[in-house]
Amino acid sequence: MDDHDLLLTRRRFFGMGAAGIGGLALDSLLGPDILGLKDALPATGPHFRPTAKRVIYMHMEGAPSQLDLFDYKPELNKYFNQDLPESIRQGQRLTGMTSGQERFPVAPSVFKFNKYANNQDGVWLSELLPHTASLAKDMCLIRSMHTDAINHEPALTFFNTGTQQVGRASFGSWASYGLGSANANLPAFVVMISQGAGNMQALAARMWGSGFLPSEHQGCKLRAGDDPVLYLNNPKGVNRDDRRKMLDLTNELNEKEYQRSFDPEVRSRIAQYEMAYRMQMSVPELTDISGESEATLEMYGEDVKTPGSFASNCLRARRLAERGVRFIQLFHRGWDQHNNLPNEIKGQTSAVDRAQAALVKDLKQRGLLDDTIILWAGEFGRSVYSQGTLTKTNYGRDHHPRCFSLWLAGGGIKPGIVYGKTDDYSYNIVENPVSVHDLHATMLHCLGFDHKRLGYPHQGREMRLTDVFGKVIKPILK
Amino acid sequence: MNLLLEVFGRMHPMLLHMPMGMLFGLGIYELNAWRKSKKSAPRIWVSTTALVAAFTAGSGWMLHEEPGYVEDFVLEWHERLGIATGIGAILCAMSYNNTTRYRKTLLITVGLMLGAGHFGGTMTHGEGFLLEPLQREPKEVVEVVSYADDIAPIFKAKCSKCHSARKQKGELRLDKPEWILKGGEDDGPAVNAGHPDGHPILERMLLDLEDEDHMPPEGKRQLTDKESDLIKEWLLLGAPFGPPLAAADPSAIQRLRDNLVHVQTVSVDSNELYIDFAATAADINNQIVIDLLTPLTANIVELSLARARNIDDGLMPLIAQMPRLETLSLVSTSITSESEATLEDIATVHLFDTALQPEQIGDVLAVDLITEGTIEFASTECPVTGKIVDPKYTIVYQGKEVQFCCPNCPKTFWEDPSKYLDNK
Repeated sequence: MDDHDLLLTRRRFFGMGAAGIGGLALDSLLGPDILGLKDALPATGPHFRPTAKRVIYMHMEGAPSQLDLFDYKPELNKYFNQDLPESIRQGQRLTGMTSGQERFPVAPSVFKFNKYANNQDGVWLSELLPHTASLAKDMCLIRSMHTDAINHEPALTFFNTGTQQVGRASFGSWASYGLGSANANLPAFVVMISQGAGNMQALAARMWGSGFLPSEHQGCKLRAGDDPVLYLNNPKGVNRDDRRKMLDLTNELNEKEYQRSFDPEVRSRIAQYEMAYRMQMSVPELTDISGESEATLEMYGEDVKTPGSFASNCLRARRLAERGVRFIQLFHRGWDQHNNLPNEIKGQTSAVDRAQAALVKDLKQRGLLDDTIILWAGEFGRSVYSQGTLTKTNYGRDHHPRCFSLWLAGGGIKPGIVYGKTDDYSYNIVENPVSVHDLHATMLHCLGFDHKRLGYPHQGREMRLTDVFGKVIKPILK
Repeated sequence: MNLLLEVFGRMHPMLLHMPMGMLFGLGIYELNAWRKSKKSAPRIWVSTTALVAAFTAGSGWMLHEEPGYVEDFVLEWHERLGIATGIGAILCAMSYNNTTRYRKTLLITVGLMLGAGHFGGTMTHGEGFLLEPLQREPKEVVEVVSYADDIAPIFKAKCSKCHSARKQKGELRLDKPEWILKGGEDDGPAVNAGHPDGHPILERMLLDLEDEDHMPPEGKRQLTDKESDLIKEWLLLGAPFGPPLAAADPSAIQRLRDNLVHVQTVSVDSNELYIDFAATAADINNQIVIDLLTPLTANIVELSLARARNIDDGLMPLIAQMPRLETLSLVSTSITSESEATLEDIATVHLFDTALQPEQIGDVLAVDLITEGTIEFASTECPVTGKIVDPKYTIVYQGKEVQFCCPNCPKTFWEDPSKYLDNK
C-alpha cells in the first residue's frame, strides 16, 4: 500500500459517494468522453417545474440608501434635525462610526419622489432613478428586507452565501450545482465588477466561491478590457492544435491520478481545463459587441462602450443570458455614503439607472425576462439619522440592518407590486418582513428548487443555502 | 364518582394487552401440558388472568359510555366478544379444579379473545390495516398521473353511483372522457381541459363539507387525501385523458448533447423536455434541427432557437409536430410572416428581431424611458385635509383616481364629492 492509498480515508471515500459516484453516473450517461465537448449535467435538476431558468443579480456593494431611493417618507420633513426617538431605535446596536455621536438627528431625503403607475395603486420612487422608475409595472419592490449583519463584509457574505461566516458556497454556485450549465462553452456562473464613484469597500473573490461544492461551480470573473479571462489566450507560438494535444496528455495524467486518489477536485480540474479550452472560442464571441445595433447601444447609454462600466457589464449580462449562463452577478461598488450622501449618490445612480433599466427592457423584448429573475440589492440599508453634520442640503448615513429595500423582476416574480412596509422613520419593519434567507428560498423556488432539499453533505451535515432557515414568500410570486 | 368511572374506562387501551398476553400464554402452556400429560398452570396465574380480563372488559364497557363512538357492527361485536372473554376467563378460574372442563373453557375463551382483539384493532387502526402493505401498488420510478390508471378508478369508486350510466344526477356522467368534457347542467364541462385551473369539479371538491354543492355529498363516501391529491395533480396538468408521456429516447438525448445542445427535463420527475440551442446557435440550420429533434417531438415543451440566423420557415412542419410545445423562442432567426399559422397554437412565441416582429429597440427608445410609466394623479394633496396623500387610500371617482391621507377622508369625501373636488 503506498502513501496515496493511505490518503484514501474513510471521509474521502464517503465524500466520493456524493461527487464521485455522481461522477461515475455522469460518465456512464455521457459516454467515455466526459472530458470533451459535452453538455454539463446538473448534479440535481429542478425539483419541480421552474418559472425561472437564470438569475441576473445586480449587487450594489456598499449598501444604497433606501431612504433616498425607494422608501418614500414625506412626513420625515417635519422631524428635520430632531433626535431619533428612543422608542424607534430601541437600543439598536450601532457601528463604531456613529456609536460615539452625541445625538442622532433625523435626516429626511433631499430628493424629490414621483409616483409611477404599477399594478397596484402606484409606487413612489426617487427622482434619482427616472429610468428604473419606468420599470414600475415590471418590478416587485420589497421595502421590508432585513439582515443580521451590520458591517459590509459579514453582510455581503450573508447575502451571497447564506451565512455571515466565511466558507460556504455562494448563491451562484448553488444555482450552477442545481441547474448545471445550459451552454457547454461557458461557465454556469459569471461575475462582473464595476467601480463606483463613491466610498468603496473591499470585495473578496469568495463572494462567488464554491465553498464545499465542487470547484467548477465557482463564479468565473469576467474582466474589463481585451483579456476578459486572465491567461485564457494561447501564448505566442502555441496554436489551437498544440493546445489540444497538451490538454489530452494532461487529462490522461489527471485521470490516472483520479483513479488512484478518488479526489473529486481532480475531476473538477480536468473539467475546468476543458472549459477554458472551449472558452478560448466562446469568450471572444461573447465580448464582441460589434454586432449590436446602434439603437441597442444607445438604450444602455454612452458608458456601454467603456469596458468595465456598469452599462457595459449590463449589456454583457444580456449576452450571457441569451447564451444560457445560469447565474450572472454584477457588482457595482461605491454605495457606502457615510458622508456627503446627496452628492455622492448622484454619481452612483447616474452610472446604473439607465443601463439597468435598459437591461430589463432588452431582456423583455427578447422574451428572456419571462424566465430570468432580476435581483437588484445592496447588503443592508442606511440609517435615517445623519452621520456627521446635518445641514438642509447635506448629510451622511450609517449602516442600517433593520430594514432596507430591493427590487426583483421577471422569472415568475409578481410584477408591479410593492411588498412590505417600514415605520415613519424607515427604521423598523411594520409589515411583511423578508429575511435574506426568505429571499434565497423564494428565488430558489422560482428556479424549481425546494430550498430545504437542495443540499450538499459537508462536515457531517446536509448544507443548504438557507442553512436551517428561510420560507418562500408566496405573495410575491405570480 | 362518574369522573372516576370515566378514568377507569380510559384505562381500557392500557389494560387490554395484559389479559391478551396472559390468556395467550396460558393457552400455550396448557396445550403443552395436555400433550405431555403434565399438571395445569399454577392457580395464581389463572386467577390473576381472570381478574385482569374482567377489569379490562369492565373498563371497555365504561369507555363505551363516553360519547363519540360510531355505533356500528365493529363496535358491537368488539363489546360482545370482549365481555364474553371476561366471563370466559372467570369461568376458567372457577373450573380450575376440573382440569378437562378448565382446559375446554380456556380454549373457547382464547378464541373469543382473538375475535374481540380483531374488532378492537379495526376500531383503532381502521379496516385492512394489517394487510395494507401487501396490497400497495409497486411504486413507479416516474410518477405521472394518468387518467386511465389513477383518476378513472377514483371516479368509479366515489362518483359512479350518481354520475354514470346508472344515474345522471345534474345530467353529469363521469365514467368516460367524452361525458366529463360534456359536463352537467349547472357547471358545463366538469374540467377546464388544457388549463391548470378553473375546473368546476375541483371547486366542488374544495367546498366545505356542509355546503350543499360539495361533492361527494355529505353522508356519502368522501375522497381520501390521496385521492384528492391525485385529482388535483391531474387537473393541474390540464386534465389530460391520454396516456402519460413516455420518457424521451436516451440515444436521441445523447445525440443532442454530443452536438452541444442543452437538453433537460423540466423537473426531476417529468419527461417533458426543455431544449436550448444557445451554445451552437450560429452554426445550426434547418436540417440539423430536424435531424436532432424529430425523435423527441412528443416530449418538447420549451424550445429556444434564438440567434440561429440560418433557421427559417422550413422548420415549421417540425414545430407543428410538437403537441406539447408551450414556449418557443425564434428571436433573431429568419422566420417570416408566412409561418404565422403554425405558431398560433403555442402559448408563448418570442419573435423579436424577425420578419414577424422587426427589431423594436427604436420604439422602446421613442417611448422616452423617463416618462413611460408616469401617471398623473388628480392631486398629491388630500382633497379633504390638504395633507400629503398615502397611495394606500385611493378611490376611483368619475374615472379619475383620487387619493387621501388617511382611511377616514374617503368617507368624508363620499358624503359630498363635489364639495371637495370643487375646492381644488
